[in-house]
Parts: sequence; C-alpha cells; structure tokens
Amino acid sequence: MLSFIIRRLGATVIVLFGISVLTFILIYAIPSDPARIIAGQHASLATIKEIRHNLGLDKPVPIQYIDYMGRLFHGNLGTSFIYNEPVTQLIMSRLGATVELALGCWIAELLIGIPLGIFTARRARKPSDYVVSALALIAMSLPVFWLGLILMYYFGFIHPWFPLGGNSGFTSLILPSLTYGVTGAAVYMRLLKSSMLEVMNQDYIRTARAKGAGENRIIWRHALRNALIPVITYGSIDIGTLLSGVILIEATFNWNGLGMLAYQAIQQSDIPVIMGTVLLTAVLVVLFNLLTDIVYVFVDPRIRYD
Amino acid sequence: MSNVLEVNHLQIQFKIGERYHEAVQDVSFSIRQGETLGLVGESGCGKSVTSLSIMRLLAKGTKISGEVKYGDRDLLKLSESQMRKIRGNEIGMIFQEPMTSLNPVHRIGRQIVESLLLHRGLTGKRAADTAIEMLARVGIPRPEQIAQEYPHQLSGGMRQRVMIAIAMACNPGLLIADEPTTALDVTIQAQILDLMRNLASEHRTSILLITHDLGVVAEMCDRVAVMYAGKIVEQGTVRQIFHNPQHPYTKGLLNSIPKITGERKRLQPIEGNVPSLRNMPQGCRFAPRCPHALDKCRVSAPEFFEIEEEHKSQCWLHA
Ligand SMILES: Nc1ncnc2c1ncn2[C@@H]1O[C@H](COP(=O)(O)OP(=O)(O)OP(=O)(O)O)[C@@H](O)[C@H]1O
Ligand code: SF4
Ligand SMILES: [Mg+2]
Repeated sequence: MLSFIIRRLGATVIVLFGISVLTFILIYAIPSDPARIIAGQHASLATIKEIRHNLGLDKPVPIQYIDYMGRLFHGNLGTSFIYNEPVTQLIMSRLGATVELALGCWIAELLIGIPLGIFTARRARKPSDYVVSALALIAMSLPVFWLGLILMYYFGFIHPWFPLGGNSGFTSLILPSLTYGVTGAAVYMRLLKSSMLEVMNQDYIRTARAKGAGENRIIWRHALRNALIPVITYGSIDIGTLLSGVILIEATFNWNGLGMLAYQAIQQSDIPVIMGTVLLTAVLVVLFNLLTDIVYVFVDPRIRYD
Repeated sequence: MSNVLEVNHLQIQFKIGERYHEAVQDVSFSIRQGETLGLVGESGCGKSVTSLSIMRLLAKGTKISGEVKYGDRDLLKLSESQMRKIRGNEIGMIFQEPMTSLNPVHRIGRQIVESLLLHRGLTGKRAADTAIEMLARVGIPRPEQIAQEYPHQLSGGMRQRVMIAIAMACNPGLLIADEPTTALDVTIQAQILDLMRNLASEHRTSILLITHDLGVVAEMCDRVAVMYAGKIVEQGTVRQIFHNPQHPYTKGLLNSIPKITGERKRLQPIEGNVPSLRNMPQGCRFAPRCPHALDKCRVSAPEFFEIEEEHKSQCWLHA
C-alpha cells in the first residue's frame, strides 16, 4: 500500500509536469498581449515595450518556459498582471473560502443524493420511484443562479434566516450548498440506484435472504457497501472539481473563491493567475484520484495494490 | 416415519410480459426425517424454482399455490417475518454458485456469525467461537485464520464449505442443496458430498438434493423424484428408479449416463429440447421427444400410475 502511494505520487509529478507544459503552450497559442492589457488602451508603444521587458515577455518562448519552471520549483507561481500580487498569495487568500464552499456543496449533494438513491432503488418501478426520479430530473436541470436567487429571496429576504450572499461563517454556507446540492444530487441518486438494483440481483443477496436476514439488514449491511463503488468514483471527481472553484455558485452568492478568481483571470488574460489555478486544479484532481484508490481498499477487500 | 417436508400440488407461475406462464405444475413430494430426496431433471425443468418456492425466495409477483408443509405449518401461509425465522434456522440452503454466493465485502467469520445472530441471538466472542467451530466442522483447515479472510481469498471448494457452514450453523431440520457440486471439479465434488452426508447423518438432517447428475443421486439419495418441464414424472426409491425405471424420460436420462463398468454403450442423450414456458405441449409434456408417444399422449396429460409401493410414474403406457 505504502509503495503504491509512493509510486502514484511519483507519477503525479510527471502528470503535473505535463500539465504545466500544456498550459504554457496553450497560453502562447492565445493571441493576446498581456502588456497591452496592463498598460491600457492609450499607452505608448515605449511603455508597452518596457512592460514587456519587465515581465520577461520579450525573451524567446523556451527561455520564458525555463524561467517559469525555475520559479515553479521554488513555489513561485509568478505575479498577477492585474493585481500585481504573487499568484500563490492570491490563491491562498481564496482557498479557505473555496474549500468551505466545496465541502458544503459536496456534503449537500451526498446528503440528498444517497438517501434518495436508496429510496428509489427500494421502490423501483413503483409510483413513488417515478415521482422522486422525475423531481430529481427537474431539480438537475434547474439553472443554479435562478434557484439560488429564489432560495435567497425566500430564506434570506422574506424570512431573513440566512445572509443574502457573501461568505461570513456557517450560516452563509447553507443556501449556496443547498442550491448546489439540489441540482447536483440527481447524479448521485441515479448512480446509486442503478448500482443498488444490480447488487440486489447478486447471488450473495439471495444467500443473505436464505439466512433469514430482513429487508433493512439486506439493504444496509449487504447491498449498500457493494453498491457504493461507482458512487465513490464519481464523488471523488466531483469534489476535486468543486475544490477548483464553483463559478456559478460563487457568482450567484457573491462568494469570493477560486472560481471567481479564475474567471476574472481568463477575462483579463491574467496569465500567471490562469496558470496557477489550472495547475492547482490538476493537483487536486490527481490527489483525489489517489485518495479514491485508497478508499476503494477499505470498501472492497478484493482491491489490493501489491 | 414422519415427514419433515411435504409439498402438495405446488404450482408456480411467472409473469412474462402481460401473461402468467406456468413453470411448475402440480408438483407433490415429501421428505422424511433424516432422508435425502434427489430432485433430478434437465436444465430448465424447474428444479431451482421449486426449491426457491419452498424458502419463499422467488421474486414478488410470482404466483405460487398449493401447500408447502414444514412440520405442521404451511410455509406458503406464513407472514414474511415468520418465514424469516424459518430461513437459515429450520431450513438451510446452499446454491450452485459458490464463487458468487458469499458477500465479497464481509469476512468469512462474520457471514457465519450472521445466522447465529439472527436466530440464536449470539454476539461477540461466543458467536465468533461458534463460527470457528462450524468452519472446523466443515473441514476447513486453520479455521481461526480463515474466519478473518474474505471470500475472494478462498477456492470454490472452500467457499462451498463455508456455504455449508452457514446453512448448517443453526442445525436446520432440512437442508436444500441446489446443485451444490456442479461448479466444482470432480475430486472436490466427492469431498463436498461426503461432508454433506456426514453432517446430515450426525444431526439427522433431511436433504433435498437438486442435481442433474444421476451419479450423485445414486451415491447420496434414498428416494428420487424425476422432473420434466415443470412436473414430476416419476418418483421412487433409488433402487426402483435405477433398476426398474418406468417413465420413458427416466429411461432416457439413465441411458444418457456413461457407464464405467460392464460393456461400453454409446451415450444416448435424449433428442430434442425442454419445451419453453411459453409453449408447453398439450397433453403429455414429453410427447414431442418421446419415442413411444401415442395419439392419446398429445391430447391428454397422464396421471400418476402406481407401479409398486413408493414407486409411481406419470405415463399412458402404464394404463
Ligand atoms: N424469475 C423468473 N421469471 C421468469 N421465468 C423464470 C424465472 N425463473 C426461472 N424461470 C423459468 O422457469 C423455468 C425453470 O427454471 P429453473 O431455474 O427452476 O430450472 P432448473 O431446473 O433449476 O435448471 P438448471 O439445471 O439450469 O438450474 C425455466 O424455463 C426458467 O426460464
Ligand atoms: S404419456 Fe405418452 S408421450 Fe408421455 S411419456 Fe408416456 S408414452 Fe411418452
Ligand atoms: Mg437450477
């Protein structure tokens, strides 16, 4: 197990190197000039030239890449063109808010999706299954900003139970998480339902019945753990993506996270920030993949990595 | 001697599409205490369905009628919770698929403990010790260690031993074994059959042994019921069935087993296939494949004719 983790971390370094190369190339493929953006519309050519020189943008591309990688190894992601602040610092200042929001959204999805998955599997092809499944499908296709505004209107304005946006502690986390949870839970529900139905047809479930186990025992002790594997896979991809920022939720609830940072950076061609957030996303995705592989071992004893 | 199980006029219908189709029709048999009854027949004739209906393990929506008397209770009339007290406690069951019949995410010990917990209320160390004792009784070496392992770490034969340990954990009066050795190789087959025979005779457990292997029947059973297309066509003691088979289907089955002793005969499988549920022949269900079929056979179904005591056969030839 330990050697597996070490090997995987080694592979992670290679993946990250590849990603840094890719983002670097991608950015040079975009025909936009950051110096012009920084300098503004009316700057003289000389000013722009000077800015280019200061940013090292007049050096040949390979040299720029080497510079970039050299800084990267020292944990330096460069300086934002727009904020004129180190990218690491910018990301760090937003990371806390994003982790909070991501976990809130994720937990809301799980808390809604998993019980509904079990419920619809148990009631499969009965009216209650059809009703819940239809509602889940509708919820899944609701626009996030619309649902967010509705919730804010009723539970922030009419009944001022929760703050109207902003990140200010636990209460401010409820509505954004609920909004995301409602729209995202359907995927978990459907995954778990189909996986449960498949598991319920397995021979070992028949064995449990033949032992005299009741329906609840069969669901919770025998079926659920076997049915969770695909849910874990999706769940880890999901939390990885959430941690790199939830742009729509952040925008709707005025939540100052990484999503907004990345979004603005793209709009303003703030290359160091774009590269920093992309790299962070990649690290998160790779780390959560590794974490998933480790969780599998605890859920399914057949999985071993020696 | 008293009957442990008595099945009377069992009829099972599955809903396929919009209509119900009969998988088992008018099946009656009984098993006495300590006796092993063999239920034999080709694939698809309704053996598993019959055994599952005794345990009431068929999918909801399946129509079952008739009587399944276990002692003086009709299992078909019990509530689901009463039935749960019977499953795994008074009637144990083992299946054809040892590789997939154990829960892959639970340790072996825990899977045996579950029966003890459900029916004996045993928990903790006492349950764990009893589970290890059961593993030892079914001939598993190093039972303490195996109890800590997961199913995928064991071979098919070992897993079937574990299944037997689970089924026998509460000393049931009846063991239903649905092709317990079909998936195993020959040497392991013999060991598993030995084990079942020994355990059963120790506890005077009755066995309903389902198989399509007449060799297994000869070795294990006291009496035999031969099933064809959802019906029992001949019933008798092992001696009667092997030495004096009456029904053309039974004769066909016996002709299709390779004989090791005596002169070599060519293997003669019965020609044709088991009819499907959707188009059961009118009259005798075996008529399309029967070498002796009469005109009458195609229009009306024969009743049982008693050949001698305990021996009866369902064929117009005996009329
Ligand atoms: N749930 C079900 N729905 C519809 N038909 C079924 C169902 N279960 C079994 N059948 C049908 O009932 C018939 C009897 O099946 P059964 O499994 O009892 O055969 P079997 O004698 O045990 O055969 P095998 O030797 O292959 O195990 C078959 O035609 C089968 O297709
Ligand atoms: S009743 Fe007729 S068709 Fe059926 S087995 Fe006897 S002889 Fe053959
Ligand atoms: Mg079968």
